[in-house]
Amino acid sequence: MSKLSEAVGKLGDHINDLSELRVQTVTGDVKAVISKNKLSDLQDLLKPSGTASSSTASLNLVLDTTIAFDGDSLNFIDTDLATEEVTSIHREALESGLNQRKAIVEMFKSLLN
Amino acid sequence: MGLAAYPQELGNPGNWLQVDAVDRVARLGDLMEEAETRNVFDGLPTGSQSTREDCYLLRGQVIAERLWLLGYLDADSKQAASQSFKRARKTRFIPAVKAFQSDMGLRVDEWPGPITWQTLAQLVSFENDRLEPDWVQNPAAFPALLRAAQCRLCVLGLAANLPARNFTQVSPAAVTRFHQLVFALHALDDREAELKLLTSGKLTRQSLMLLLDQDRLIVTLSQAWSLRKTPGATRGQKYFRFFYSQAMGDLSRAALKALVNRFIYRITLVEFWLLGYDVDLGNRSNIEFPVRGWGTGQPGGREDESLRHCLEDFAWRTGSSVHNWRKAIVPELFIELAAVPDPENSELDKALQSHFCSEQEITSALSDARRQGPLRLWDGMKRIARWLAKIAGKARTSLKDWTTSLARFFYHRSLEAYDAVKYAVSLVVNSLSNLDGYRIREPDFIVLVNPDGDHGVCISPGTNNQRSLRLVRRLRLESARFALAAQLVGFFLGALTSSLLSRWAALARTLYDNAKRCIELVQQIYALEKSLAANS
Repeated sequence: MSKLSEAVGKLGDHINDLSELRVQTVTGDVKAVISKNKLSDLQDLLKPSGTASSSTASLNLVLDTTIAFDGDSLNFIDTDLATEEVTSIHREALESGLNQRKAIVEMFKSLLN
Repeated sequence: MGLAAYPQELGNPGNWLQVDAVDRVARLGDLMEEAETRNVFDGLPTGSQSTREDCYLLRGQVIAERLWLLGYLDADSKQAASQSFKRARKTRFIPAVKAFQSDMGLRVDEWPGPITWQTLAQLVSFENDRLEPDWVQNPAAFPALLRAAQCRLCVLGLAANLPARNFTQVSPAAVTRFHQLVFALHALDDREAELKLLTSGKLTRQSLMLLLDQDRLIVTLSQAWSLRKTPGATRGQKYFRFFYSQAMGDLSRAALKALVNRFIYRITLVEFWLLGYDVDLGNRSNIEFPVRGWGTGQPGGREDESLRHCLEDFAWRTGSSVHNWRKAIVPELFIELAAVPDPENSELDKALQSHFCSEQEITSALSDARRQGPLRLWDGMKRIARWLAKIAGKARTSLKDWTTSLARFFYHRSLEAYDAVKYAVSLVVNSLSNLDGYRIREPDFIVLVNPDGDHGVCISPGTNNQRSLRLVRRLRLESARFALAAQLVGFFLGALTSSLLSRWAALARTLYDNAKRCIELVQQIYALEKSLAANS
C-alpha cells in the first residue's frame, strides 16, 4: 500500500462523524471534568435540564450549538447563565471547531477528487 | 456522511465572480509569501518522529544541492546529505551552512532554519528575483551573492566553472563578457549606463540584478530583433540584432556575434529547463545551436539535438511553425515566452466575465485551448492566466507571475511535488491524532476537542473570563493555521492531479476555490494574531 493510501486510511480512522459539528459550553466544577479524557465523557457529567446538581451530574449546560452539514444549525441558550463573556468564549470555540472540520473536509475532498 | 454535497458549497462557479475571486487569486501570491515569511505554515504540529525526519531529509537535500551550486559543499558531501540528514551532519554540511550564514551576514547558528532557507532560495533559483536591496548595493559584503553570480555566469556559458570552495571573486573575464552582452542587447534600456559597464571590471547593482533575473533576460531577448530587408531574408521573419561599440576593445564584431549567439543558446536552455524539458544545463563548450540568420556561434561545434526536440515540441504545442522553429532559435520564441496579457478593455472584460459564468463554459473554452495544442501544463496554465488576467484588469501582472511560477513549479517539479504532498498529507493526518482530548487544561477552564471538530468548553464559576477568552482565541488561531495547512495540501494535490490529467477546467476551479479559502484563512489568522497581540 502506498504511503498516500495509508495516510488516507489513517485519516478515516480519526474521523467518526463529519455530518455535524457540535460545540457545548458548560459551567460548573472543572475538577469533575479533569478526570475525563474524551469529549464524549463530558456528556455523562451534564445534569438533565431542570434537575439539581449531584455528584455525578455537576455541570450546567449554558450554550449548545449543532451545525449540520447542510448548514442548518440548532442552538440552545440558557439565558440565565449565558453572560456576554461566556457567549464570546462559546463563539470562539465554535469558530475553532468550524476551522478544524473544514480542514478535515478539505483533506477528504482533495483526496477523493 | 454527505461529502458529495460539500463541493457544491465551494464549487459553484456562479459564485466566483460575485466574491471577486479573480482579484483574490491575484493577491494570493503576495499573501502566501507574507504568510510564509511569518512562519504561519510552521504552526502545524507533528506527531510522528519518522515523518519529521523524512521532512528534514527532503529539506536537507534541497539545501545541500544549493550549497553545492554555490561551492560551499563538495559533491561527496552533497551526496551524503541527500541520503541521510543525520549523516550529513558528520560531513562538511554543517561547516558549509555556517560559512554560508557568515557570508550572508546571518546569525551563524549552524542550523539551516527558515531565514537560511529563504536566503538560499533567493540566491539559487531562476524563479526568484527578490534580491534584498542591501545585497546589491554592496555585493562585496555578501560573498555568497557573488558566488550566486558566478554560478549564474557559468550556467549562462560565460564562466568556465561553478564557484569553487576557495572562491574569492567572480571571474573578471566572465563579468566583462556579460557587460558586453548587456550593451550589445541594449538590456538596461539606458545607453549611458551600458557604456559605463563596458569599462567597469566589476558587477554593478544594475548588472547584478539583471544577471540574476531570468525573466528580464527573456524580455530583453524578446525585444532584440529587427526585420531584415537583405536578399534571401524571408519576408516578415524576425532576426536578432545586436549593437557593437569600439569601447569593447579587443573584441571584434564577429567575436561579439558569436558571444551573443552562445548567450541566446544558453538562455534558451535555461528557459526550457524551467519549462520541464529534459535539457542539460552543464557547461558543454563544444555544443551549440544555430540562431536564425547567424548559424552556430562556434563553427565545428556539435548541434544540440535535445534542444531541437524541445523547440519542435514547443512550436507544435504553441501553434507555431515547427518547420521554422526546429532549424534555429528565433526571436518569435522569446516573444512567445515573454507574452503579456492584452491591454484592458472594459467591453472585453464584460464579455469574458459572462463567458466564465458556468463550469460548462470554462470547460468548453479550455477544450478549445487544448485542441490548439498547449503544453501539458505550462501553456494551459498560461492561457488560463491570460484569460483570468484580462478579467482581473489591474491585477493581471501579479496573476501572470503567480500562475507562471506555479506552472513552472508543477511542471518541473511534479515528482518532487507529489512526494511533498505525500509528506504533507502524513503531517496533517498525524496532527489529527494531537487533536483528540484536552486542548486547554487550566484549573478553572477546560476545552476538550474531538478530531471531528466537536468542542466541549467547561468554565468554573468565578473564573477570569477575559483570560479564558484569550486562551480559546489562541485555540482558534491554531485551528485556522491547521486549516490553512490542510487547505494548501488540498490545493497542491488538486492542482497536481488536475494538471497531470490535463483537466484544465478542474485546475481552474482548484485555483479559484482554494485561493478564496486560503485568503480567507490567512486574513483570519492575521486578524487573530493582531487581536491577541493587542490584548496580551
